[in-house]
Amino acid sequence: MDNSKKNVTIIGGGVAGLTTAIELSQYSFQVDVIEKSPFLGGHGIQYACKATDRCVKCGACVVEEKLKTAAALSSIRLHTESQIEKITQSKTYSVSLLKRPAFINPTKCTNCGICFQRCPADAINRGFSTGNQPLFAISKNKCLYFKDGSCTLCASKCPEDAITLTAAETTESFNSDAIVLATGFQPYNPEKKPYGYHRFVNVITNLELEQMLRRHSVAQRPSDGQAPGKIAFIQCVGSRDAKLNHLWCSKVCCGSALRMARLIRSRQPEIEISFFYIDVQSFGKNFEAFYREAQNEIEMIRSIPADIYPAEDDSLRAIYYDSSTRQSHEPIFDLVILSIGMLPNPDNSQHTEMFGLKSDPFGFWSYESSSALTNGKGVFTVGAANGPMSIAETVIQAEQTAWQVYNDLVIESNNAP
Amino acid sequence: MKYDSLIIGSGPCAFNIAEELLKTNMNMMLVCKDQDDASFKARVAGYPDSTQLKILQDAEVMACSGQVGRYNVILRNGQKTISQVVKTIIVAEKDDYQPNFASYQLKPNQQVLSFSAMQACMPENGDEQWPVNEDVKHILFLNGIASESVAHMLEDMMRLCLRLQSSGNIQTYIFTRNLKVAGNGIESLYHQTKDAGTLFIKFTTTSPEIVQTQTGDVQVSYQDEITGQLFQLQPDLTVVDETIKPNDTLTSLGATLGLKQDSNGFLQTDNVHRLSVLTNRKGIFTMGPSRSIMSSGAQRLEARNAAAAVVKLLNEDLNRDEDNKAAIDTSVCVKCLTCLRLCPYKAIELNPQPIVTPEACEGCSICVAECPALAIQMMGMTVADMMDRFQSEIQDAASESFEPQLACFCCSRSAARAKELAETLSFNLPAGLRIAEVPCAGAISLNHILSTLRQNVDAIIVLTCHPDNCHSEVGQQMVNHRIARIQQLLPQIGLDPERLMIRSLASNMGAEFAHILAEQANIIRKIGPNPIKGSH
Repeated sequence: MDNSKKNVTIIGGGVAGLTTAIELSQYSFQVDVIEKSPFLGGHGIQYACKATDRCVKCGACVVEEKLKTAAALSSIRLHTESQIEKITQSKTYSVSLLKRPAFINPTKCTNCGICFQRCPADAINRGFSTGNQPLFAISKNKCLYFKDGSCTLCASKCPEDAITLTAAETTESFNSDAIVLATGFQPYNPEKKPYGYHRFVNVITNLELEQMLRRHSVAQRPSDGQAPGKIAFIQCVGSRDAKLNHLWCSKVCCGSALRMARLIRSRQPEIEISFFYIDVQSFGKNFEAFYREAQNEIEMIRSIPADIYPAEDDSLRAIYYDSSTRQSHEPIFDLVILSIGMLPNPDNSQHTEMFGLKSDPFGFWSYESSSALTNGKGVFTVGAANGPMSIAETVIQAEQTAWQVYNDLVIESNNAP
Repeated sequence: MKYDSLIIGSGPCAFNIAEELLKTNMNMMLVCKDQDDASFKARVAGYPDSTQLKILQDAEVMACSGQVGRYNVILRNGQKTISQVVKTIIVAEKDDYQPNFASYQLKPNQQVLSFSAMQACMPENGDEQWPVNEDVKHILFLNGIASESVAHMLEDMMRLCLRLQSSGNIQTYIFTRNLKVAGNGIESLYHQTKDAGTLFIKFTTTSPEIVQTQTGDVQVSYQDEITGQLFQLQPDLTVVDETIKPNDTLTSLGATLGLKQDSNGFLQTDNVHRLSVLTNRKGIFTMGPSRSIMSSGAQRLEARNAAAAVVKLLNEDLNRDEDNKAAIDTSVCVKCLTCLRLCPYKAIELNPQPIVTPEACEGCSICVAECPALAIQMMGMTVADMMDRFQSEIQDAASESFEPQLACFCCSRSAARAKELAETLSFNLPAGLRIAEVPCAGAISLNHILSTLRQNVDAIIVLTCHPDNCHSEVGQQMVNHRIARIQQLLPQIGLDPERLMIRSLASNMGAEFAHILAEQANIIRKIGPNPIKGSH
């Protein structure tokens, strides 16, 4: 099959976009993946493996593998720090990209990390995976050079001469036969919830715990780096919340939190874990057995804390109503994990308008309706932008979306009279 | 005639995949066990026989030999037996809904129905009311009380409750433990159903007491867990949820096709490497309810995954990467058939000697490691090849203090990638670390380990994928058995068993890779140099 003259543009370089790109390249399409952040792999690339004595199918390693595969394929062009400036449609789509300045030259950078270590303003971000090339990116907001021109330390210390702080924005244009929107999700910001996020240092989100476990293997209190004695997981923070009009379940947090809780228990068995929930959602093929074992290791509390107060030594007092005793309790925890909801990407509304897509009342695209688009051919949606979903579900949907693209661009045109 | 694909199944899923592949120019044979079922007949009627699609009713697969691109399938079709060559096979059997009457100590009767039976009573048209007799005022749905429910069953139940509530004179109740709302639109639907008047009673620590009287009536007493109040309910109709099981033909079909099952009996192991419709055999796919529990919507969409899998496979050059395939030296082979028994991909055929089918071989090298006659080779996997890899990375022993030389076997899918990640993220790795990357940890043989111990090394670390994450399913288990055996033998040759360590890792565990290596280096620093090193 030779579709190499056909191009597909994918907006979003997370697991949905990368998997769709790999699948499309298997039908011989040329693919451009547009990622606005400096690092490919989306949220998933920051996640930790949650295997205990065996794989628990969290899918984090799949993201790693997809990124590596996509980066190695010559038919896929990966654009980081890029965004769509304009898309116009005549017979095909004409795509204009705006690429932020490449301060670090990816062909010169050897990932030595000197810039990262030496930066006085903490303005250099590091990627998460071997597949993030270059591994470092300069954050313009924090960089002193862009503030007042006072510092060029990274550029002068770089042994490869790979850093050019005066690099300019570039643009690029190409034609594309189809557009795939893989814009992912936006994590809920829990600052407004009464849990003291960003006020109490030992209250973190499940995404931050993922990063902590990936980086350090174990749970630590951010306040002192010590192992916590007691951890609370609070589920549904920003999901299933009628007051916020977030009338959806984020679907993956029960699985992610229980897997992380069991991982922590397997590595730090002295830690006690309480799990505050509304309903435990099923995940994985072996859910019943997993859940049974989890209940033996973790204190499951069917209640959502109303409030969190600071207690001695940076620990936290959670107040909840226990329906079994019909009383309020105020246990103390050393670390509180908020399982924050998955929100539609704020960019979605712009695409919804631009491409005439259908979305649900909350701003997620509906996959079923997107696969039978009414606005003409060539625009597809995939992944968590269609609603919260796991890594495994995203991979499955990416295969389906790539098949739909192949179907529209190749099969139907072959079958046309 | 050689069909591009053989589809096995009688349910909607089998017809969905046929429909999807009809869009391409492929030709297919659809093998259905059913023949009498009305919905099946209606489905078959939609597909007149054509050169592209041949439907066999009252048919089943009796035997299967051959490999991807040329599977030879023996079929029973009514009284006849047919032999058919096909390039690929898709298992698309329907699922089996089993009502949980027994779990609730209920017997089905006119007042006690399974959820499927209840759905079948409902008029097709969503606007019509249920033609219920006027006496039925209270309908109780039991969902996920005895065992965990699934989201799509709750979704269907709530849609049904909405219709019943809208009649104006029926009160519906849903009794549940964990309300399964993990699916698009289900939480919204829950609010809508609650607003329409359905009463949801959730149980955590208590259970409803359900009694069926001699006359078949159901009486329920329960405690509201929030207020602690006791309630009685005498539903006019009780609807019982169902457990979704794999089709009972899957076990024998799996055995016939050489497919591995998961712990529930579905024809796909619970392994992320099988996403989405892959099995342990190249060219055999499993979809929808043949591989997992899923909603009818998800089943419908999986036709795309299966169609994609077939199209991609038939366009793939299966002979690429020919260097990384095992080959049996027939002059050395003693036909013990160990390879035939162990190959996780069933890539070994008897012809009449055992031979490796290159198109199906995934290059895991498990057969190479296990062959007692050492008759199987794969490039780079001989003991000498492996030792070369360790030799080439030998450090200068210039430093004064003892720095343990660590030989580390890494699975290429996991630990070798974790090592790269550890380096990328600037974790410190021991100075004396040397790596041999292997296609699967199951490739590491007794000979590899024993020969390595006689090299200039102080300890060996074997790093595998996690159990249930091994691409070749059993490679990780097999190398664990081998290592356990060697660890028992080591004291007999005067070696501390701690010199041989085995751990599992994933590709994204850079930090853990560094920790494991540091830990092992510390152990060896304490117990000192390997007394037999360099004795080869």
